[in-house]
Amino acid sequence: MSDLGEQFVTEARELIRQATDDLIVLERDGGSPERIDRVFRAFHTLKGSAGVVELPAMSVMLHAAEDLLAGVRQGTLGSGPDIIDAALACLDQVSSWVDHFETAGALPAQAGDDGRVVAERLRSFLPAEAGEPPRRAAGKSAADREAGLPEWVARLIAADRDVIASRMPRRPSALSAISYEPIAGCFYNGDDPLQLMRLVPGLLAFHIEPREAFPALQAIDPYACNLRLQAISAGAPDEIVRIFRLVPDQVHITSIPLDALPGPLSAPSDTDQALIRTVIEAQCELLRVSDRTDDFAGCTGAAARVATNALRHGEQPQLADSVQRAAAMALAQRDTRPLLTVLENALAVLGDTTPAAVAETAGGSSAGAASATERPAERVLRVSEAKIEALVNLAGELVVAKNALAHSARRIEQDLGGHEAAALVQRDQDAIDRLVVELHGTILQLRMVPMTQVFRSFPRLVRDVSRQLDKNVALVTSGETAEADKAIVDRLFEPLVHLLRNAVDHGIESPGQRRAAGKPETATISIEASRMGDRLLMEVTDDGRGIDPAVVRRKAAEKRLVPLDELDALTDEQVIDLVFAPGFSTAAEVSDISGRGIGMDVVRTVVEQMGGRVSLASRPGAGTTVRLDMPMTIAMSRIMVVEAGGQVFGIAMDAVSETVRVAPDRIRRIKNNLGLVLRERVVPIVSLAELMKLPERAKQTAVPRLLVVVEAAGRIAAFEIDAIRDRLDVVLKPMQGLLANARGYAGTTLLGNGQVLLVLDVKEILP
Amino acid sequence: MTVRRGDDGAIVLDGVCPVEDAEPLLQMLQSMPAAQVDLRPCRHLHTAVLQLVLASGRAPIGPCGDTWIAQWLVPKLPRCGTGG
Repeated sequence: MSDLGEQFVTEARELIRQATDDLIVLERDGGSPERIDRVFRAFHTLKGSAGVVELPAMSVMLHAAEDLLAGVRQGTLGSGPDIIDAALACLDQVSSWVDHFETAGALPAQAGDDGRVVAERLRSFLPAEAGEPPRRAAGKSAADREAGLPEWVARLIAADRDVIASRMPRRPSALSAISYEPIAGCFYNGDDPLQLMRLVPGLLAFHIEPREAFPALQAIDPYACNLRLQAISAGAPDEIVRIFRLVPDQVHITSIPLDALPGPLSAPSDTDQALIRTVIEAQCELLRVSDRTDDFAGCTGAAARVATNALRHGEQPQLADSVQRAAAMALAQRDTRPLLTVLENALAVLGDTTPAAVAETAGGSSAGAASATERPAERVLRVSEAKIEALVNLAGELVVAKNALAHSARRIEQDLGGHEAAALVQRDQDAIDRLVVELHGTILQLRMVPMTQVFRSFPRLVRDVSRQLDKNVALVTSGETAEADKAIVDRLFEPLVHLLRNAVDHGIESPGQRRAAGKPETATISIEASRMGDRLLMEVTDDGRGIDPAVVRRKAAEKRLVPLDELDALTDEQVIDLVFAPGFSTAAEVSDISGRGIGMDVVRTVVEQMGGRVSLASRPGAGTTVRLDMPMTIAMSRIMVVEAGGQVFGIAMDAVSETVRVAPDRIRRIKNNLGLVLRERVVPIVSLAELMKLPERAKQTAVPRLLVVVEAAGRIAAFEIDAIRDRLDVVLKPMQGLLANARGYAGTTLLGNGQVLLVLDVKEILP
Repeated sequence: MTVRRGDDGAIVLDGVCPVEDAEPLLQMLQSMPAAQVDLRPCRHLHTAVLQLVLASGRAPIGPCGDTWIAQWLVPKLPRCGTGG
């Protein structure tokens, strides 16, 4: 994708997010003028950017949204939930299109229709005279149109009516009004607003005024821009948008109906058109024979002049210009062909009077409509410069250290003895080792991101769900800045969505019930992130009805989640924990929002896969708190999967120094133990099956033994095993429940086939 | 220097006046309260420079050699002088 496209995608997502946030606050707290203004500007900038990357369907839809918001801004429309819904739906559509644009470089094929549906919904809120539904536009009189112009445009026209009339082309293709209010600091950005205005093609009117009255010269800040520049142009709208593409937030471009301006607007008649064609055809004839005449230059020059004048008369200035350029070329080359080609091209253009249809950029398959809860396709990782700098420095040191190793190798070859060489290489190896560890740590730091991006979509989620359920819920978030590994942060999204939906759906009572219970009608759900050492804690708390252990007990019994006799033995706390059991759902009926019997068990599964823990505390009538205790990073461990005594175990590769197959006769009995001499060291042999109290397989004396030599905490041993199965990178989960205190295990992990693998803690089990 | 004191006591904007001209222009406008601004040799003036001309409220000396400025900008400035 082009740089422009990429920039658009990034900016659009940022604007969508900002507008969504503001719309939600607008609905909840009512609108301060600043906030309404901000929402309006966000939509406006989005529209402008869509124009720059040439997505007309998006511009058209956003234009409708802008009209709606203009109504809200002027106070002619309220900011009721229906209007907010429509505006949010518009943002959803934009968001889905942006995703599609990012992957396919264009909007989906049906974007035009989809956009129209959204635009019509947006326009349905506008009073008939303010909105411009397409079906009415055609029948409007010029007076209607002029009356419908924004006030500043009308003022601009009124001020320069004569100039406009005198400069109006006979057949303008489009008219635009531009209002450019450069930000005060624009000079520091290198902007020269007047220069931009000078670039505007087809200028009909220009106006410049101070935004606020100028102070006295003694008090003026020469580098604070306090100007408003306005213009009316008959130039191509694309061109105008391109000129102001770098300041879309400071410029407002409005299209003006062609008949709203004074001036000679009568299009050249058909007879005119025919006449121009005839004139140009005659010049072509003349040129075809001019090769044979002596007066080549005179003939060509005359033909070009006549054709140019005819085209100017017919309001085809661009064609006229290209004829002029071609004539110059023809004269220089003493060849009429360049001019003939351009004239024939002009004839073709004149013959084709049907307006070019606005072609929708089509391409790619249609994207599924993104629902509000779907994760945006955003995969950007923002990294601070300082972190990158640290990485680069480390990498540089690493290169130097590596080069030193090469040097050492040469010296070993040339003039050093073995021992000295080993020491030398060892020293370099230590240096590299230190750097690599540091590098690794820094790279892990790069992946640390704040929870902000996950929290971002929650206000919208809670708003939509609570509105669907007719509940009033305020979401309070805190600790957005707590950081964790990007993999953790990304994966937390889904469980948190489940928790929030559950809280609104099951936790929060209806406003009536809350009133009856003496609670405020508006419920509060808080979501809080914090850092505790190397753990990330998340708490989702609601002040709803809480979980009644008796209800859970009954449900669990009905669903046979736990054998009845065991159920009776469980404490209330343990019973409440059953909501995480697969197949448990406390919802009386399956709703759209949650309660399909999945949800809480999904939360537990996802969290535990990352090496985290979920717990829940609830007080009937007072609310529920779900607590997620997550590692800050997903620590991947490389393990070797071995088989012994008919079971499989994992051994951390860190601890494994080698695997050897030895003939039984090399194994000696040393005191009460077996052992062997390996690389001048005596290594005790331990049967892993025996160590794990498993039945040992009968040994055939002649068969070589398979040994895994492990080292930990300065001790060495060889585990005798039956087979090596695999080497894997896994996330180790700590031992839980009844096994939490079992010694000898570093943790568990899930194998691809769903089997739980126990990973040994070599340090603990070494005899 | 694209902004300078003219022989006739006017402030002359000469050629393409960059943003850096704003500061010296302001000083001249402050120190020469009666001086007119001579736009005749001006081909472009940076918005910051234009803003000061506007803020000074002084009529420029024209006509400006640049067609765009003469056509679009000068009519927006206080009128009085074709003198000089």
